[in-house]
Amino acid sequence: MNLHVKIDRGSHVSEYHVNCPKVMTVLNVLEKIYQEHDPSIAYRFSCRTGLCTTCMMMINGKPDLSCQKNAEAGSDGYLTLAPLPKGYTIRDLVKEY
Amino acid sequence: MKKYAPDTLEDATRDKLSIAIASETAEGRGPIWLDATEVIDQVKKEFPHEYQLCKDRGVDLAIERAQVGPAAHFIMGGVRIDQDGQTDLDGLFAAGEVAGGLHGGNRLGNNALSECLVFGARAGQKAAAYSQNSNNISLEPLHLNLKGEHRPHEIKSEIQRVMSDYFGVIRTSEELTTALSEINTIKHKLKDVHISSIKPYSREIIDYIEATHMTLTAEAMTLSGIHRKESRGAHFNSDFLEQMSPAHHILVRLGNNQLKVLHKEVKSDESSRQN
Ligand SMILES: Cc1cc2nc3c(=O)[nH]c(=O)nc-3n(C[C@H](O)[C@H](O)[C@H](O)COP(=O)(O)OP(=O)(O)OC[C@H]3O[C@@H](n4cnc5c(N)ncnc54)[C@H](O)[C@@H]3O)c2cc1C
Ligand code: FES
Repeated sequence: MNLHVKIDRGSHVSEYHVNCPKVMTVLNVLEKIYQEHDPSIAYRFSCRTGLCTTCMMMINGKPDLSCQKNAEAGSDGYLTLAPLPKGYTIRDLVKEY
Repeated sequence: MKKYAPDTLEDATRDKLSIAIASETAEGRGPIWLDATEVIDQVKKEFPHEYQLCKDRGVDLAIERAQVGPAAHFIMGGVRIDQDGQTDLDGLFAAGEVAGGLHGGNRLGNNALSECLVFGARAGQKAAAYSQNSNNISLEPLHLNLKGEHRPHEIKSEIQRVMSDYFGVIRTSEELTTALSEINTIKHKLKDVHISSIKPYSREIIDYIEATHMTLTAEAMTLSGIHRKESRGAHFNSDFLEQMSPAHHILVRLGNNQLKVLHKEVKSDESSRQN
């Protein structure tokens, strides 16, 4: 499927058109963006099994674990990613703990 | 599991369970299924997260089986420490999974966290005392040619491929030698990396550091595997099925950019380190 992704990077929003399988986690979509589209994108993860919450971010306006959540477009046709709103954002989707 | 662990069956230690699954698969009787339906209440109570994880991915263990296979779970080897987590390098302490030697050939379930608690506390206390009488140690900055050919995440994938193809659950001496020669090729690629972003939290820099450490670890593991001419715990070499006696540690030391291998007999009382 062709997924349209928007990432809120603080000073600007980046957009990507990602070709991915029908079922794929948001974290795996980010990995694809990093490997195939934009090596500068910053995000964090650790356990990949929904236990540590390192990969938490806003996904289509709601806080969720990117390693567990399946990627799908919101009502505007985009998968929209942003850092969690509270606290200091170091860069892109990376928060200070 | 009757064939592999007649007394304990599925409750066998994880080295035996992994070797059983890998052997059945290698001999063409795979895939291997986990049927938890008879003990589902216990599974839901003791492993609620894992039960839900499978359910979210479309497998309800209460009514159906799940296809299973062994995966890398824990590294039994590691940095050599004494009883206080002190290493051979003055001022360097290690504790937890990065330290080696505590579990022998196979770690029993749940001993990893007790190891972290016990040795974490001991190493922390010793390191705090050490820091009272020591100067700050500065680390060498990373010098990198950023305009090379290979992307660090691709190098990581290559190490993962080599280690799962040739350093998996069932090993042969020929495969171990192949692994070592492929790791040597990968080592050269690390000198020719392409990094486009050096901003804070650059994934490329993190991947480069991880690739460097993974390559050195993979080389040390493979060398130790080649030198261990026996099968013991999780190290199963189908060319050497027997255990050697007496048991011995294999130590790998880095000096002048070269890894050197030493054998050391395991003493029954290893509470203190002799050399
Ligand atoms: C799926 C799974 C289930 C497990 N279940 C159990 C269980 O039930 N019971 C049990 O006892 N054990 C279990 N274990 C094993 C146990 O969880 C681990 O051995 C233990 O958590 C290791 O802790 P640690 O602090 O030593 O290392 P880690 O938790 O791995 O911490 C190492 C840290 O170092 C950081 N790091 C790495 N490189 C660098 C660098 N260059 N610079 C800065 N930081 C760096 C890493 O990001 C990481 O945060 C399990 C392991 C896995 C994978
Ligand atoms: S990476 Fe640990 S919860 Fe997602």
